[in-house]
Amino acid sequence: MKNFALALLIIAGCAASLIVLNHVGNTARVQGRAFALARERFPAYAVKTTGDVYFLWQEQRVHGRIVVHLGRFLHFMEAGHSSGGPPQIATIVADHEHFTIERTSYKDFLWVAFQTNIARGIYTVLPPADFKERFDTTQPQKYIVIHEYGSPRIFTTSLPSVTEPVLLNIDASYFASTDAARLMDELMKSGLKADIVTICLAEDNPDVTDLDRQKARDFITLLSAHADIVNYKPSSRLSKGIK
Amino acid sequence: MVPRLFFSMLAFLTIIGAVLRIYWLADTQPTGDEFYTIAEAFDYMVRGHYGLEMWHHPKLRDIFVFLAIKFFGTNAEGFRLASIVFGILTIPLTGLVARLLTRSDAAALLASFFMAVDAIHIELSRQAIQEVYMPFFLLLGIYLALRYRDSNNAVLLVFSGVIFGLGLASKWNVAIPLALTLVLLVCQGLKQDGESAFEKSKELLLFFATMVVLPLTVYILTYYPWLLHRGYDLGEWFTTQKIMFAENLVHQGANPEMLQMQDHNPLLWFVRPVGFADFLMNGNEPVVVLGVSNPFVWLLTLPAVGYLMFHVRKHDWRHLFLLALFWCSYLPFVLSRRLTGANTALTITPFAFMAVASVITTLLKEKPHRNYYVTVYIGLVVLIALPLYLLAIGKGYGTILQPILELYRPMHER
Repeated sequence: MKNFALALLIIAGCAASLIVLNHVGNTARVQGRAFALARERFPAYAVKTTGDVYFLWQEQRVHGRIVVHLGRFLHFMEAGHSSGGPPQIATIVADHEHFTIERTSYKDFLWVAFQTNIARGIYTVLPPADFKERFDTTQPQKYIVIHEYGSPRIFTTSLPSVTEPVLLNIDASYFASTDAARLMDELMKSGLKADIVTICLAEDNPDVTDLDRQKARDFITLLSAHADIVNYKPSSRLSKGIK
Repeated sequence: MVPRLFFSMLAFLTIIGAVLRIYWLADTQPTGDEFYTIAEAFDYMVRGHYGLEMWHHPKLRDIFVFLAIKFFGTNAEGFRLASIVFGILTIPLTGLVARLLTRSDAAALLASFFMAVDAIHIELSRQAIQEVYMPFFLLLGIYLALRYRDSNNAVLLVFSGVIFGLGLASKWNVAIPLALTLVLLVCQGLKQDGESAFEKSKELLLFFATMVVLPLTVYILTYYPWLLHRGYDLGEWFTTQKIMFAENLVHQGANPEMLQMQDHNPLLWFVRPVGFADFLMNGNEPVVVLGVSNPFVWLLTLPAVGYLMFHVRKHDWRHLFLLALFWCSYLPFVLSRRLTGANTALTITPFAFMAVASVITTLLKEKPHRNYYVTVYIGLVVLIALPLYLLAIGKGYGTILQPILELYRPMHER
C-alpha cells in the first residue's frame, strides 16, 4: 500500500509542478488591455521612427509577447556585444549577465525585442512580392516558419490568426504594395486582438519612400474612424539605453 | 575479495582519476566550446535564451555552469566544476555498477581503472561541456535502480528517477539506459512469485511513476528559465522540442572545418583508435587538446561483447542487461546517418569497459599465472595511457607526440 501511495504522490506532484510551470510561463507575459480590432474602438499610436516602436513597447513594459509586424523589412540584424579584444571569461560573464544593447534602429528593432524578451514570437507579414523574393519560392506556399534557436519567426503574406492579444506594428514600408483602404479592410476582417497598435512612419529608414509614408498617413486618417490615434513621443529616459 | 579491500582500491582508483582530471587544469585555456558554453549559460539563466552552441541539446549544462560560476567564480576550476566532479565520480560509479552486473570485484575494479585512465573521458572532464554528465547520471540511475531491486527500498527508485531525469536533461541518449532499466524492473516485477495481480499492478504503477513520470518532469523543469523569462507555455515547449529533435537528426556542427578533423563515424569507435580534438591559442602558442581512445581497451570491446553474447546462456540476467545496455546505446549511433563525434561514445564506454573487464577476468579466472597476465596487461594499458594523457591535457603540441596531432590538422593546412 505504501508503494501505491508513493506512486500516486509522485504522479500528483509531477502533474502539479508542470501545471505550476505552465502557469509561470503564462503569467510572465505582460500585456495591457486588449481590444478586438474588428469590434472595439482601440487606441493606436502614430510613431515616427522604427526605434520609437521599440521604446513604446518598453515604456508600456510589455513582455513575452507575440508581435505581428507588417512591412517589407525584417529588422533582425544581430548587434554585437559591447566588449572588444580577445575573449575573457570574466568579460563574457559580465556581458551576458547584464545584457545591454546601447541603441536600437530600423535595422534590428525586432531582433532587440526578441533579445530583451518583449517578443517571444514574431509574425512578419510581407507583401507577396517581397515574400517571393526573400524566400525564392515558386510554390504557392505563403507561410514559412523558421526558428531562432528554438523561438519561432513566422513569415506570411496575410494577417495571421493568433488567439492571444498581439503587439501589432504596421510599418510604412508595407504600403509599397498595398493601399490604406485595402489594409483597413483586411484588418477589420481579421480576428486579431491587440493591446498596442502602432503605425510607424519609419522616418529613420532610408529604404522607405515618401509615397509609402504618405499612404501610411492616409491609413492613420482612415483608422481614426475606428481608433483613438495618439501621436507618440518617447520619453528621453527610455531612448537613452536599452536593458 | 573482502568489501573493505574492494572499496579501498576503488577509492584509490578514484584518487588517481581525480589527479589526472585536475592536474594543470588552471593553466588550460578555455576552448571555443567553453566560451560559448559560458555565454549561453548566462543567456539561458538570466534571459531564458538558447544559444548557438548545441542549442538542440537539453539545458542542464547551462544551469550547472551558471551555478558553478556564481558560487566558485570565473576561474578554470569554477566554470569546469560540474564536469570535473561528474567526471571523477563516474570512476567509482563504473566500478559499483560493474560489481552489480558482473558479480566480480576484480572486473569492477578493472572497469573502474579503464575509466580512470581513459583519455577521452579525461579530456572532456576538463571542459565545461556536458559530455561527462551523461555517463555519471546514467550509471548512478542504474546503480540506484539495481539497489532498489536488491533492497526493495522505494526511496532508491525515486532517486533513480530524479537522476535519470537529470541525465535526460544532459542529453537525450540517456533515455536508452532509462528505458532498459525500466524494462528490467518490469520484467523482474512481473516474474515475482507469490504476489497477486493487484500487488504486481501496484508495483508497476510505482515503476511508471518513478521511471517515466518523474524523469520526464525533472527534464521539463530544467526548462524553467525559458518559460519564466520568455513567457512560453508548455504547448510551445513541446513545439520547440520537436524542432530540437529535427535538428538533432541532421546536425552537422557549427564549424564545417571541424568535420574534416574529427572522427565522426561511430562504426569505427571500437575498430580503430578514434579521437576528439579541440584547438585553442595560449598567447601566441597553439594548444591542441586531443583525447584518443586507448586501443588496448577500446579495441577489445567488440570481441568481449561477442564473447559475452556467445556465452550468454551461461550467464544470468545481469550480463544480458549489460549486453542490452551496450548494444541499445551503441546501435542507434551506428545506424544513424548523422555525424556523431567520438565524444558521444562516453555514453557507451562504461558498458564497453565493463564487458572488457568482465571477459578478461573470466578468461583469466582459472589460469595459474593470472596475476602476471593482469599486471602485464595493465602495464600495457598504462604505457599507452601516459602519452594519450599528455595529448588529452594539451601538452602534446611541439613534443614527440606532434605527429599524432598532425593527423587532426585540416586538409587545407597540410
